Amino acid sequence: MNIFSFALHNLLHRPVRTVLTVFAIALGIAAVVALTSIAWGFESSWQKANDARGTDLIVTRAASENAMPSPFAADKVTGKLLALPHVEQAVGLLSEMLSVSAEAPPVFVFGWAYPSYLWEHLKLTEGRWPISQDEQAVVIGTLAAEMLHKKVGDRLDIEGNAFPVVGIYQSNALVENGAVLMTLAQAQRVTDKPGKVNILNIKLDGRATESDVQQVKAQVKSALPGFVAITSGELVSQNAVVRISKAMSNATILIAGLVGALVVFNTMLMSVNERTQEIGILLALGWQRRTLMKLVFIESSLMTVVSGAAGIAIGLALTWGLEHVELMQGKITPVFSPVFLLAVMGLAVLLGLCGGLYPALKAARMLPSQALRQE
Amino acid sequence: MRYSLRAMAVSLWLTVGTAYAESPVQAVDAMRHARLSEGFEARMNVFVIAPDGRRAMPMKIAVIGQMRENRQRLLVRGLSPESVRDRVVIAERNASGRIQSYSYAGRFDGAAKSVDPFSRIFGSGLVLWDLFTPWWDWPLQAVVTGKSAGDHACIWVSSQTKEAASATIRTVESCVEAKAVLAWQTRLLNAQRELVREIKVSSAVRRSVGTGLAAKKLSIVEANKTVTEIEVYAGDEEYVISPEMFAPLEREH
Repeated sequence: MNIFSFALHNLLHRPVRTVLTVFAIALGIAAVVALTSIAWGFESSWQKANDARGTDLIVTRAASENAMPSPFAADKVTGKLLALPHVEQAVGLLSEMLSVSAEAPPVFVFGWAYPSYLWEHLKLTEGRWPISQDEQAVVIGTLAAEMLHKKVGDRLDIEGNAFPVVGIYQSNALVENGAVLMTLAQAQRVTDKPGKVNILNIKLDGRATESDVQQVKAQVKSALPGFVAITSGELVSQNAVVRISKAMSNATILIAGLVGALVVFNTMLMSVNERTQEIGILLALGWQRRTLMKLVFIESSLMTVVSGAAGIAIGLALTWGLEHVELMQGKITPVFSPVFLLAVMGLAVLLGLCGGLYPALKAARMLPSQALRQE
Repeated sequence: MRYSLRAMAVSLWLTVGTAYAESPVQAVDAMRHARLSEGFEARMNVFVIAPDGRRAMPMKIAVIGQMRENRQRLLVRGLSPESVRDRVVIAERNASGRIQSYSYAGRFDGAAKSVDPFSRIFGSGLVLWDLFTPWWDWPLQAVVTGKSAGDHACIWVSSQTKEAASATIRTVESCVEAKAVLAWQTRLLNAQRELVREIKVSSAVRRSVGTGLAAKKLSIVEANKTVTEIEVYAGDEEYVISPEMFAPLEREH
């Protein structure tokens, strides 16, 4: 019998305790997997929305930390931006989270300059696009159509204005799929923000290099005090909702790690105490103290590796379930990466090592004579 | 000079500011100055719950204002449902503290009807007089002891007046967090020191400019236990007031 099968035998000797320990740690790991993947998914969805538009840089108010950057008068800024080298287009966007139906939760209502390159990445699946920037009409994403139970020809009440749905579109960004889209002029009118935008999307010419992008950012900072030019990734990482969801996932990792280590510690300490005589015999038979420590570490690591695998499976199932619950539909797109799942397994092993450290030391420090006398 | 959200905040007890007030006197001063703005707009969902628990149909309203030292003007416009759509209440408070307010059935359609600034707006607990936060201008301001509002480190400031013009409300007690220039709780009392309304801010967000907070959710509890819950869902700290926005006020004068 080698040391691995010996460790396995020890764990199976107390099956209920082992299963309960594995289950407790697995639940913690599942929470880590679910929350982290949802937080990353939220960030990635926003980033996709910005990237899909083909925007190189986003100009917004400095210190915009809220879900939506505060609005500003576009005309004062656009002219200065277009004068910068490599800037080809500066296109305005206004967005608000608004309730458009008494039965459905609020949705993102986007107003995009029309016509502009922002619309080009969307695929119309039904109906038509607005005819002009002044047409009082909306197009909605496929997911929004599903959530709001609307089809082409139906009407949406937006801030007291009736908007006919003239088209349904598909985007590869979840945020856009769940949104209501109208022309910027209409969005400004309906939200009473004439001439204002939240964001100016900058498209650089094809010759712009990475250093040109950095140069434009620096020029915006100096030419437009109070404004900042950032990449879509930077904008998303500054978003308050993204930051909160990430903080929550980090807190869960911390709590789950602490609880997991304590559970392993408790189980292994009980196991070592129960086997004092057995440890005494092993020492008397000539087992090295190092080998005893290895045995305890293998037992604790075996438990946490199994917990890690089970936790990942539960976490994946949990997020899949949440993704398909009607209340959450369209709001989350979990992102799982192999690196992340490997890191979770690493965390599980670390828990095993931390939780098993003291029990292993205790076992290794026992004197055979005293251990054998123990009742 | 940038006034921005401060006024919106004060007007709605969402009070916001940047200056750190080191003493109660400074706190009152900060609150007084915080309402100044060249233009703001706040859009909010309003839920009215009757004493028996019945919920009225939720409303959406927009509050637009311009608050200067000697002249403060407000416009409240109904957005939805149909019953309040485009109904407008408009008001002005002059340097002497006198408030004149008018209501319109449509968006300035038809004749203006003079309204009591102490009356409820669109059947909710919102009151024009409160939106002007006139108590910060009253000469009697004192710090009183009181239970802090939730977990917030705020000081209770009692504002009192003896003016007949403010007969409905004689004392206002506000729990002010000096650093954020935010009144987390405001109690409005009549001449008999009976509670007329209580306003509690339950959630606040960081303002986009500066370091202060702006309330996002608040509730107004009236003496008869009617509760009005308000959630600000959109706002513009630098709203551009068009020349025609307050033109009806000039006409009525």
